[in-house]
Amino acid sequence: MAAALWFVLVCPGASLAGGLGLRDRFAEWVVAVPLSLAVVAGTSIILFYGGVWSPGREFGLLLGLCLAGLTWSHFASREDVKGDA
Amino acid sequence: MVSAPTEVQPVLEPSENRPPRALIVRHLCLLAPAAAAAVLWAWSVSGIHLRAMNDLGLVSVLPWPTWLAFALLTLGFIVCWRRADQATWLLLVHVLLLIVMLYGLPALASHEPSGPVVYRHAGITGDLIQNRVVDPRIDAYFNWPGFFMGLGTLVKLAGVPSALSFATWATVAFNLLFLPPLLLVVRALTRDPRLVWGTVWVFYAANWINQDYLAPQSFAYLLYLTIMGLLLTYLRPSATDLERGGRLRRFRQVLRVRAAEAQVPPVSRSTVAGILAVVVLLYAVIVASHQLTPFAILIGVLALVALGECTARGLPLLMGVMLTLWVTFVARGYLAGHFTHLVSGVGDINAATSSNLTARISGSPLHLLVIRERLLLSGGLWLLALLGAIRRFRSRYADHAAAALALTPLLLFPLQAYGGEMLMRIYFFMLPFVAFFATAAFLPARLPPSPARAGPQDLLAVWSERARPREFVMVWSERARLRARLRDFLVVWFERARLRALPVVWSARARLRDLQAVWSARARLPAALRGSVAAAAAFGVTVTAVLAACLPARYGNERIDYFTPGEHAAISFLYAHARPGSTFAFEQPYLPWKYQEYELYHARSLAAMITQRPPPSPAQALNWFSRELMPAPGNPAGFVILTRSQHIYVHTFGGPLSRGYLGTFERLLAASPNFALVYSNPDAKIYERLPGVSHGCKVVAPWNRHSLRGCAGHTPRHRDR
Repeated sequence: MAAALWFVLVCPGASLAGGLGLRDRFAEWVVAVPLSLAVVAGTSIILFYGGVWSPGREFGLLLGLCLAGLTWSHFASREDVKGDA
Repeated sequence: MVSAPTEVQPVLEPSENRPPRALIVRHLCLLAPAAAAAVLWAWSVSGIHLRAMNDLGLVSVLPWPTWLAFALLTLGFIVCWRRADQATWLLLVHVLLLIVMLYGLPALASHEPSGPVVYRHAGITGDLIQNRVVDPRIDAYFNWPGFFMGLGTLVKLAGVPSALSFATWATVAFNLLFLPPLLLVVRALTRDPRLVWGTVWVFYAANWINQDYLAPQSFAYLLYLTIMGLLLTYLRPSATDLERGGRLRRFRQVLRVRAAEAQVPPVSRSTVAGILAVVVLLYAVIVASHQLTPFAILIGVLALVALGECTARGLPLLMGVMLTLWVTFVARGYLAGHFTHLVSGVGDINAATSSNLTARISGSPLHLLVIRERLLLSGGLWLLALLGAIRRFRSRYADHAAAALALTPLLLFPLQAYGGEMLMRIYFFMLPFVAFFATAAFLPARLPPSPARAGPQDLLAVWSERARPREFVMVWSERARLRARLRDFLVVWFERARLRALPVVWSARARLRDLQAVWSARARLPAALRGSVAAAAAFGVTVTAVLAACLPARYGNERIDYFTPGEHAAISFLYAHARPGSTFAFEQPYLPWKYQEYELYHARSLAAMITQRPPPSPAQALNWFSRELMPAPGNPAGFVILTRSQHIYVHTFGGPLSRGYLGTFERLLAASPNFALVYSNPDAKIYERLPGVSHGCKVVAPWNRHSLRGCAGHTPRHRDR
C-alpha cells in the first residue's frame, strides 16, 4: 500500500515538474504532489467517461505518463543547461 | 513609482560564530517543549472516553494533559518563531506536530472515521469501481465524480478493500498535503519568515470548518492552494510590467497597486507556458470534482487579473469556458432537475443569511454555546485580519493580491445557500489570506520613508519657497521683531507668576505625572508591540486563544459524528441481511451507512416526512412507513433503523423532530404487528417489515402520498458544523 501511495502521490507529478524549469527545488516538490493527484484523477476521468477504466489500464497509462514526463524533464533540463551556458 | 518596502530583518545572534555543539544543544532545548507536548498528547489521548461526551463535543472529555500538550506546543512554537530565520526546521517540526495532534485527535481516540458523509463517499467510490461507468442519474455526486474516480484508482492500486481504509487518517493526510502549497502562497506574499510561519500556524489553529476529511472539497482545496501558489509566485507582474499601459492601468493607479514585496523569480517563456498548463490541468480536475471550488478560483483569478496581479489575462476566460462546458454538457442532468432551485437563490441575501446563519443558531443550550463560540472565533479572526490589513496598507506594503483573495470568496455568499454551508466554505477559502493579515497585525511595520508621500513640513517648505512674495518679506521681519519683544515680556510675566504659583504648580505636576504613568501603561501597548519580545508574547497569547477556541469549534459536533461499535455492527447486520432493492427507513439520515452497494438500496426519512405541511403524527408516519416497506414482488421487505446517533442529532440540533415525537414513534413501532425486531444492541435497533396487508391505523391527514413520495427521494443534507 505504501508503494502504491508513493507512486500515486509523487511519481507522475515529480516526473513532470522537473521539466517545468521552475529552478526552485521547493516549488518543484510543492507542485509534484497536487500535480500527481490531478494526473491520476484526470486520467481516471478520461478512462471512466470513455468506458474503458480498469486498474491495469490506469496503471499502464500512469506509468507511460511517468516515462514521458521523465524524458521531457531530461531534455528540458539539458536545454536549460545550454541556455545558462 | 514607489519601490517595494525593504523588509527589516530582525537582529539575531550570528549562528555562524556559535560552536556547533552549543547550537545543537540550543536547538534541542528549543525542541524540548514540542517533544514534551507530543509525549503528553499521545499518553493522554488513550484516556479519552468518547461515549461520555456531552453537547460540547470532544472538549467535554479532553483530559487536562491534552490541553497542556497544546499549550506546550504553542509555547515552543512561539519561542522558535522569534528566531524564524534561524530555525526553520524547528518551526516545521512544530507545525507538523500541530497537524497530527489537532487533526488526528478523533482518529486516535476512536480509530474510525467521523461523521456519516465519509461512508457515503466510500460507497460512491465502490460503486464506480464495481460498475466502471458513471450514471449521473443516481445523485449529484455522479455529476462531479472526478475525485471519486481518482480515489477508485488509488483504492485498486493500493489493494485495499474500500476507500474507508484511508478515511480515518485522511484529515491528517490532507492537512499535511495543504502545507507545501500554503507555504508557496505565503512565501509569494512576504519575505518575512515570521510572517510566513505565523500565517501557517494561524491557518491550522483556526481551521475549525472540518472540510478536510475524505471528500471532494479537501481535494479541490489542495488544488486551489496550489493554483494560487503558482499564480502568485510565477505569474505576477514585475515593477516594469505594472508601469505598462492597459485598460486597467487607471484602476490600478486608483488602488495604488504596486510590485509585490517578494520578488518574482525570473523564468523563461516555456516555464510560464508549462505553469499555465499545470494550472489549467488542476482547474479541469477541480471542475470535474467539486461544484463550488471552481467558482471560488474563477472569482479569485478574475480579481487578480483585474488588479494586474496576474499576467495570464486570458486565464479567467479559459476557466469560465471550462466551467460552462462541464455544467452544460456533463452535469446537464443535475442542472435540468435543479435549475429552478439553483437560480432562485441567486442574489437573495435574506435567504442566504437565514440559511447560513439564523437557521443554524438553534439546538441544545450547550450546542448554542458552541455555535456562539464559532461565531466569536470567526469574527475575532476577521477583525484581527482587518487590523493587520490596515496596518500593512498604511505601511505601504503592496498586499493587494492577498486582500483580493481574502475578500473575493465573499462574493459567493449571495450566489447559493449551499445547504446552509456557504459561509463556512467562504471562511475556508479566505482562511490562508485572513491568517496572513491576522499575523501581520503583530509584526512591526518598520519602513523607509517614502518619496511618494511628503510630510506637512515638506509641503510648507515648498509653499514658502514658491508662494512667498517679496513685498511681504519686510512685514515678516517687522513682525518677527515685535514677536521677540512680546516673548521677552511674556517671559518676565511668567517668571513672576511662576514664583507666586510655584507650590500650586508643583502639586499639579505631581498629579499630572501620576496620571501620565497610568495613561502610558494603558496606551503603551501599540508601541510595545514593535518590540520583538512583546510582539511574540502578544502573538503567543492570541494563537493560544485561537487554538483553545478551535478545539470546541471544530469538535463541537463530535458527539453526533462519533459512531459506536454497536452502531457499526447494526449497519453491518443490515447489509448482510437486506436484499438488494430493500428500503431503509430511519428517523434522521445520520448513520455510518451507504459505504457499499450505493445505489442498490432506497432510503426513507422521518425527518424529511415531517417537513410536510401539516406534519404527520407519529401514528401516521408509522402507517406510511408500514406501506412503503411492505414486501411485495420485486420489492423486498424494508427495515426501520433506530440508532443512538439519530437521537443525539435530534437532541443537539433540535428542529421539527422532537424527542417526544421520537419516543411515541418508537413505542408505536415496537407495538406494531407489522414490524419485528430483528437486531438489537444498546446503541441500535433494527425492525423488519413483516409480510401482510395490515396498515395499522387509517391515514386521515390531508397530506398525500404523492407529496411524501416527493420528499422521500430527497435526502436532506445533514447539518455539518
